[in-house]
Amino acid sequence: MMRQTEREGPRETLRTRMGWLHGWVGFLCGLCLACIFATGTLTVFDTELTRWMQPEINVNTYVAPTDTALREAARIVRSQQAQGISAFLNLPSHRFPVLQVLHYNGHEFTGDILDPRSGALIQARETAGGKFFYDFHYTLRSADIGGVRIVNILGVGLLVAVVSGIVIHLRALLPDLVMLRLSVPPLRSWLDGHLLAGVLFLPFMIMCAYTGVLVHADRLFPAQSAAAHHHGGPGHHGHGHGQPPPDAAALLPVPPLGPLLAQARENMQGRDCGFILFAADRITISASDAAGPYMSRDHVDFSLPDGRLLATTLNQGRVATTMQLVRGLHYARFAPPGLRWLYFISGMAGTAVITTGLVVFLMKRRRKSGHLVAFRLAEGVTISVTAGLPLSMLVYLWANRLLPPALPGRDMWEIDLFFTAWGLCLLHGMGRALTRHAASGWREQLGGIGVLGCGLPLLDILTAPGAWGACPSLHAAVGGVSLLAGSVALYAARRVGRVA
Amino acid sequence: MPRTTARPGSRLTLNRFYAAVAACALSYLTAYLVLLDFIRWAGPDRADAAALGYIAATACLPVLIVTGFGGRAWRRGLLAVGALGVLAALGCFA
Amino acid sequence: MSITVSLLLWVICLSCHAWLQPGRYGLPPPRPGYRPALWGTRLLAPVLALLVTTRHDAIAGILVWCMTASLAGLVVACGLCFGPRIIGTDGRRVARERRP
Repeated sequence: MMRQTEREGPRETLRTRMGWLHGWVGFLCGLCLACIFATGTLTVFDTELTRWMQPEINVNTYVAPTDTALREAARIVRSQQAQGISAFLNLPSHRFPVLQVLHYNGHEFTGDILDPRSGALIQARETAGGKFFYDFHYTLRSADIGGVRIVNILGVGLLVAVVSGIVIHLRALLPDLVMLRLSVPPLRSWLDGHLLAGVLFLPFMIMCAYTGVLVHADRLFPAQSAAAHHHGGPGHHGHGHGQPPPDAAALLPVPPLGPLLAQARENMQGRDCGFILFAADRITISASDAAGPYMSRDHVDFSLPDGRLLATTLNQGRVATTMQLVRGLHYARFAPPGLRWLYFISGMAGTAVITTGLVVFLMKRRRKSGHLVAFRLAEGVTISVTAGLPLSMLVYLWANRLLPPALPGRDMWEIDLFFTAWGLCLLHGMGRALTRHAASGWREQLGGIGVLGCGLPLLDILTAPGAWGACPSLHAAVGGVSLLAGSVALYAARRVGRVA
Repeated sequence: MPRTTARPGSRLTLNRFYAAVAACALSYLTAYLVLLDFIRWAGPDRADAAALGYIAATACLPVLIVTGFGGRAWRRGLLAVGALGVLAALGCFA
Repeated sequence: MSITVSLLLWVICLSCHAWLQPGRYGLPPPRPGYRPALWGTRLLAPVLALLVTTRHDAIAGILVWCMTASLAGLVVACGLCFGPRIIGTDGRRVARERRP
């Protein structure tokens, strides 16, 4: 012990070691985790965002799909399958009250939208909608090159940062529970903000990080034989997107779906049906994710063409139920609107914890390392993560309204514009930081958020006045949140100027 | 986040870095062995055993990393994690 | 409704928590006779909030309970931070920046 103390200096304590671990793991992982948390927060309202981004959809209240609509939907599914597309049918819900014939395009589920009353195609603009944030949240838009695994490793990094943060702050954890001082030096204020949000939203952050890692634990610990059993049921995230399309010649006709849905609901203890998978000789009706906190993938199989009941699969048992609850808690699809808003606010707070941590990390090292190129690069990246990402999100929403609705491949245009804006923010942030004008970088990007955020409700009114009339609460909520974000950013831009 | 006391480029920082890498590697190995233990010992239902193993391994991993890194004499932390890993390995391969 | 009630109860609880440490938060110290009442309120309010939130659905209720606690903490912290500056009972300004 004595020898070690001499070699490593007198101040090497558990707290300093934990501080080092918390700081470096927090900063290096935090740059990505901020993006993951922010997009995850938006994903809480992914369906609503998709609705906002498709103002042409004029069905605003839930109606059970009619036989005509179901027949038409089944016909479209079969015709797409005949072309080699793995299509399935998503049933209307209270959050998105239209029929959808969807397929997986490598990133999101996309496809045709049908009126649940008539089965008529609704000519909505092509967009990835809120699903883009969902895909980014858990794959960083790179599922094919191990994005899920990277996100999982970052999730473990978050848990390490949280545990080490608890060790550091353990003594003041409860007494300082509601401590916030803005009249002290800036570093202390930022640290107070980081600690306040970090401690208060600690349960939420641990829940999200742990359940998020656990949902894809097989990517972190690849035990193949175990994983094969672990993910029973059709398609873990979605709806069987890994299935090859059935052979066109073997596709059997589909009987009327209405009675099958009624029987499926009865067999699944009254839970609503969520989606229907069509194989060549059978259909599978699965329970809706919104039916309860247990995301079960319970399903009922019917044979084709006669619609005879084949089997009812209810994934029960204590361990299976626990895993269903883990997924349910993370995805929050069961949550009523009030609880979903709480998820959203908590997610924003979680993002704030990470971003304030990034700022504190830089502030503490500015005096000693501020002259280093590495420090300035880190500051540039932090600017582009903290201010550039929200700016790009707003660009994505603006692009949705400004691009022509009939533009071919407009969903990719929107996404390309998002990444272009973010790339420009990165270049801008780095340029400003490298030329020792980091404060200007912050101010300009925050100003951009202010302009785009405050302008979004106006743009929405001008470009989709009918949608405001049809679904005012949705558009008011999106407009209100963007207005709030814009106002906060403008206030922050003014403060940055003053502090700098 | 408390004040970091390490001097940049110092031996202390290097030591901490090596300790962090060693703690991560050893903790991952231990957590993985815990998962395999569950699959081997948790009963006839392999799906349930795997799920339980994932629950335990995922919960263990960050705690093991912090324990492995954080002991005041850090080798003690690594030794503790290593000992746990040996126990898990015995359960798995014995 | 349960969200609002839970939030309110948590705000009361955390306000009591802050008032029980007047030096730390720059608040006037409570009269000695009030301390047991503050302790009791700090203990009872979360229990009451838990009862209210878990009345219909245990899982959603616990989530609401936890999240409203976090949110109430922010509300109380902002209230303490932006609220009027408080003078100690001895007439002197209490040092709000004091930290152990």
